[in-house]
Amino acid sequence: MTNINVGLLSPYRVLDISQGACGLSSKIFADLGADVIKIESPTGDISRFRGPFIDDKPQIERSYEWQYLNANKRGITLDLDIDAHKELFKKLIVDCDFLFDSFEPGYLRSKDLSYLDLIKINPKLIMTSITPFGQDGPYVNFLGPDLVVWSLGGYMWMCGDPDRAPVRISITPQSYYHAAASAASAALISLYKRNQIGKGEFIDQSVQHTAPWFLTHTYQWYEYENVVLKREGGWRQFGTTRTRTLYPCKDGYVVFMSFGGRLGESVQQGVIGWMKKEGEIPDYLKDFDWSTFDALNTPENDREKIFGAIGEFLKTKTKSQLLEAAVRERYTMAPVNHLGDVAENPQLSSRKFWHNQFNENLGRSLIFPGAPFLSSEFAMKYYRSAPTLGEHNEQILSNL
Amino acid sequence: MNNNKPLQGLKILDFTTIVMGPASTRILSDCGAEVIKVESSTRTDTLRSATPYKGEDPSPNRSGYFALYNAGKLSLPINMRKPESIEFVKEHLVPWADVIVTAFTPRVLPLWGMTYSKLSAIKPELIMLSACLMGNTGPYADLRGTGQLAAALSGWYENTGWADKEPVGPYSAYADFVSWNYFIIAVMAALDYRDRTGKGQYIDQSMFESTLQFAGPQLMYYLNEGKLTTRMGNEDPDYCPHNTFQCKGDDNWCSIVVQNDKQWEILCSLMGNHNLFGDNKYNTLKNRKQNEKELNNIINNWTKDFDSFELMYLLQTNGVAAGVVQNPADLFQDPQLRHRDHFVVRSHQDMGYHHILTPSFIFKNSDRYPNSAAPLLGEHLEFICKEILDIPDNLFAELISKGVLE
Repeated sequence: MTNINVGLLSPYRVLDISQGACGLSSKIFADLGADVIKIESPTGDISRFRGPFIDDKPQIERSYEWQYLNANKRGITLDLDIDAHKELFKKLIVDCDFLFDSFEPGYLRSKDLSYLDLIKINPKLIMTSITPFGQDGPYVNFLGPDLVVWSLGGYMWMCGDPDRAPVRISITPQSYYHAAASAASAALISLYKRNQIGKGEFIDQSVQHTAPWFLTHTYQWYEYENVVLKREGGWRQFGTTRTRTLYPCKDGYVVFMSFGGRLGESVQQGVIGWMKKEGEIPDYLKDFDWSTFDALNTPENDREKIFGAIGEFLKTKTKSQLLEAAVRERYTMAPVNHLGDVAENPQLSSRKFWHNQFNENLGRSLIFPGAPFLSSEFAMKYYRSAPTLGEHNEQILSNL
Repeated sequence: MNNNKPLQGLKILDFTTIVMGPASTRILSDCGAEVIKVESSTRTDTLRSATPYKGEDPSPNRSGYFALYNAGKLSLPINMRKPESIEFVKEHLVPWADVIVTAFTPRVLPLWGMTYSKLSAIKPELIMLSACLMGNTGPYADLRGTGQLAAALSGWYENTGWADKEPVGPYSAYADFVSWNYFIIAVMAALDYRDRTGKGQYIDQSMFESTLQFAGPQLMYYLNEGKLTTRMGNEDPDYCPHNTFQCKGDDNWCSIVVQNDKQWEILCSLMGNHNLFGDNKYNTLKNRKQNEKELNNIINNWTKDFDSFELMYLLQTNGVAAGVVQNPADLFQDPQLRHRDHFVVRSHQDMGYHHILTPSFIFKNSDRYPNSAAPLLGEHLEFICKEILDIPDNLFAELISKGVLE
């Protein structure tokens, strides 16, 4: 069957036998036009069992995670414990360009389906395995759910209140999304090489290894200065000093950071200008020289005096007033949005970010988030609902 | 130059600053692309003035923050405020580049006459990616800001922290670290498309829209049901116990996740608490969730006298998921990350030897180690002009004297 979508990657076929959030890798390919076949075990992918659910009914065709990650893909079921199914899997490998998996290290080898086995069938195969810690090493047999890998990856250390345990992001599992997106980029990087030399690649993507990249300058503070930075709640540490980022406003919170200098000047002057217009400005802020103000080297008490006054002003404004003003006055400030605020953001609707797709299996439409970037050559669309369990078994497997 | 890198021969002209763009081109450089970073002594990358500095005094050439995200690149100083500089870019650099990447607010490139339509007139197969906070069109296109603000805008602050306290947000510019993946993916997909069709393209990347990709199911829950998610500490609707527990010493923690009833039995047995396993308050996931707070206290009483690493090994070797919350010092010692060469040491003229992270993926047949440390400001001026761009000596001297290359 020819691929009915046309996109940047439409000539390619992707097999995705990974589980759960790892399915983001092949979602990226599917949304860019590749022909993606999701392979599930006969009991179904774990995303099918994770909430939230459509109408809050926990059923295997009603998981939002499943619908989101697997739209634009076709779906089949295979049981790799059955020899006949293994043979079908190998037949699919012959004509595919990419394979994504997230089995525990060694599992595919035990089934004679390792990369070295599969390149005998298809030397151009680009295979990407996502595992919590990598294909080998001392933690190779450790269990690695999201909370555990982000603890060991170090990212959680910097998140949370100083007087409580470090905390993860509650939209889960973030660490696996990071690994899956990184795996997709590594696979495309390998495609570039394949186009030159005609040979495939194996990519060992670790989930844990993604996290240190998000720690910015923390490891350098330790390496150069022997300083271990720590989580600071709504504040952020910059080495030996820290700055407030979170301020209460009328209907929630707003984030801005004051560094002083070029970046800070525009923020403060924008807000101060607004305060002046409304006549709510203390004398010591009226002629303050922001261009020479160095937030990080000003004692915290002095800074609190300055930003305390700004903070009092912010309390009188709503999130949407503050966002409108930030756009108008060109200063860097953002409301702490919940996802409902995001859904109603005028910027996203103006850019036609939301997509409405009728799902025949459910008998209703679903609204999806749109593309991560806009291309002048191609517009991403949702053209196929996430497959029901085994939906394309006959269509795909009977033609092999 | 290493010949075993996947992106050998790829040429990228990089105008991006701070984190998202530089981190992306850092990965592309590690994978073999030649990346020319355009900056200027009159306007340096803000990250060059970010602490800590290696050495005594602050210097734009010694920022550890900059060193991480810019290793392996070539630095070319161009003062973009001069009209001659823009002509220089169009005449010499655009023909050289496969890909041009930028991260300006949307008003900058039109001001310079460097929109995609202008540049693709010079080179039709050019790929240009233009990233900014909100995207290059729309009513909020001019909103300025970093990934910290994008994290607030796109729901990450609201969804990180404890239910009974104000949000804390994820550390640092979180949106940069979601978006950079899509930056690389856009560039690589566009290159493949170009190689098949001969067509270049323009990519408009909104950090806001890229970042929302990692919140898809929860966004859909609101869009289709009108229901909101919020922060819930370290709890999880599908697992219990699922939390981060205190260990011996000051600020030492170990996360524990029980994924099924069998693991619950193992945990109870390791705790030497068979009564707990028999207790009907905790015998199913549903019951454990109902009595979660009490259960967390019981476990915390057990963990608080353990060394965090001993506890992790005890649990993992018995089949229960556990992980120490590692701090930046621990990351240097982590045996698993070391096994993957997560840090390599590179030498630098002003910084000396220092550590640089490697990409989180490993190729079986290719190399992905950074070629070198981050460049000094303007370090490769002569090399780029003479060896890469073949600029004649008299023109080079003229560009220097006019302040184009400064």
